[in-house]
Amino acid sequence: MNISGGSSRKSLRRPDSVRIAALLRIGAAMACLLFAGSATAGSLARLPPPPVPAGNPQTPGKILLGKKLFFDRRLSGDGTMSCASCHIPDQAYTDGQDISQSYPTTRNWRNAPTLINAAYAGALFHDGRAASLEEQALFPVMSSFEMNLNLDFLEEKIRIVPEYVAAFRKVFGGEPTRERIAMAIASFERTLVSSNAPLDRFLAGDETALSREARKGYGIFTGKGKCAGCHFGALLSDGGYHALNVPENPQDRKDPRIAATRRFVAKLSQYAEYRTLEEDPGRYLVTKDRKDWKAFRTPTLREIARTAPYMHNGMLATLEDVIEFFDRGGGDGNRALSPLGLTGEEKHDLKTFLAEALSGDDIATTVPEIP
Amino acid sequence: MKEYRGKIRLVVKHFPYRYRDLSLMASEAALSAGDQGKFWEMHRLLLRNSPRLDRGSLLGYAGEIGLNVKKFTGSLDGKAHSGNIERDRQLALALGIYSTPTLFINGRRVVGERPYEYFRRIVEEELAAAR
Amino acid sequence: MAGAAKRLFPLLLLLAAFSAHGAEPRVSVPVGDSPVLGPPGASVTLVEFIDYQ
Ligand code: HEC
Ligand code: HEC
Repeated sequence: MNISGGSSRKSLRRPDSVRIAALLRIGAAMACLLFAGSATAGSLARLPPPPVPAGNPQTPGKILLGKKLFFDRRLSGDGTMSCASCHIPDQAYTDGQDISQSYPTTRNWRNAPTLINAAYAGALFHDGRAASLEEQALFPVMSSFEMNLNLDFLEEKIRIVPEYVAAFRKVFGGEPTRERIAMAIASFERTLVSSNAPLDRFLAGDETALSREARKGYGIFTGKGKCAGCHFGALLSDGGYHALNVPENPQDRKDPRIAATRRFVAKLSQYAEYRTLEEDPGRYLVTKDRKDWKAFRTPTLREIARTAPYMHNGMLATLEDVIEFFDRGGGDGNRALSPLGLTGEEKHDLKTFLAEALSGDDIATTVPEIP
Repeated sequence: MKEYRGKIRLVVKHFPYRYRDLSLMASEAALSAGDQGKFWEMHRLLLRNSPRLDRGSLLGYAGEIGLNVKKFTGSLDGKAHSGNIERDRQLALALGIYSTPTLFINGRRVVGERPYEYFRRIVEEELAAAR
Repeated sequence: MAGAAKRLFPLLLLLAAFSAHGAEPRVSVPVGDSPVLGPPGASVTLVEFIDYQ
């Protein structure tokens, strides 16, 4: 998704959305700075309202328009996929699979993250290659292995639908364009936030918001488990990248269609040896900096109970598996983690904290009427 | 699904996408075959041969599974089952279905095509819960 | 069945609304007179919405 599916007449690496994204990024970056300012390594914080870029204010009409586009199969080449094919409301906006769904006959290569609280992330995707929701939104549309739709064609497909034309006029004062499509979708995504999670009530002083075990788990999370060294602040993320060396899935490694996807993304990222690449280089594809080899973004842990399986490739099926992974000191040869020596009870309490404390109220999403 | 014979049942409902030219007629064909007691035979042929679903092909399939083709043609051309299909479509919209296939396993929603193992896991969970 | 389905809709809408993304949302889907394969007493019912094309 990083990258244009070769469909745009513009440069492969910079979709048109980048133009508007550059404007919005300034606003978003400022908001993120303010937001990050409240985060200190080692401690957790309550979730404030999400930052909204000055160039794309939230309005009810825009949010509804974005929601329709989010569920609309028109946004894919053959009418099979919408954003909601991989970010399913019933599954906390993931798709519950290790490797995400894909455009028919192709294979994806990474796990679909939840979109709940994506509004807070300073950088999007497992490797952080998109800077805002506006910039991100058109990537999956263009991506050959996701929605596979040419953006010029997208615009024309939307412009022949009178209801959409009227809605864009009302919301933006003009006709449908790819930039406005992205802005509307981003506005909808900014409504997907955790509210009233037990952790937030706990941090506001309500001791009873967490069970005794979850409180002990909180102690381990911020203490002996060292989790809060990377998962801190309101989002439980340092916004950084670490190579934990989560193992590759041997099955995926052998799958020729996944190999095609991996090589395609690597090629578009100007990775010279893309033809022989056998693993996911992570952040390295973005920075080409050796220290970022197989590094992935520290994800938020909010809503974690609902977003299994875990990690960029979905290799860890349960929270127990994740805790075992960290307790062992992470994957082979990593230098980011060291063994923790947690007792069975400590692991249990930590799991209870993750499972109980971090889920907000249900986001009741009703599927809108699609014109 | 054979391995669960007797323990599970499958119900098919139709949600043809309006931008696919042959979807609706294919649903009509399946239900018309059903009038002659051969819904599942036609269902299987349609899935196997998709997207070859033009009228000529459908009539060919009807002959293949031994239907009374004249009756079948009348039903197909007369859109005898448009009411059933429209009812399914309304139900789909009311349930917030936005994509096909969408499956409900004892009410648990599964959107999109999945590896067999994925369905199997849920079916096993449901069977265990019923025990 | 048509009438029954009509009466069911408001209820279904409610169900659908509540089914947002809770741990295990369940939706009740009426079988109606749709084609069925397998015994009525089966402990697992799969309802599939399909498009042949
Ligand atoms: C075919 C499956 C698929 C479809 C369709 C899809 N996505 Fe995704 N989405 C993914 C995967 C996989 C990732 C992670 C990719 C990566 O990190 O390289 C992702 C990542 C994202 C992220 C970043 C989240 C984060 O925390 O970093 C956002 C936001 C997002 N998608 C929104 C959308 C929108 C909006 C659409 C529709 C325009 C969409 N997606 C369509 C699979 C999909
Ligand atoms: C050195 C930084 C670091 C530390 C310390 C750390 N994590 Fe993580 N965590 C990460 C990164 C980076 C990822 C993503 C790795 C990937 O996708 O390959 C991650 C992923 C996770 C995930 C999966 C999230 C998802 O959505 O897939 C969970 C759960 C998690 N960590 C919990 C913990 C717990 C519990 C601890 C303490 C025992 C901990 N982490 C310690 C950096 C860290």
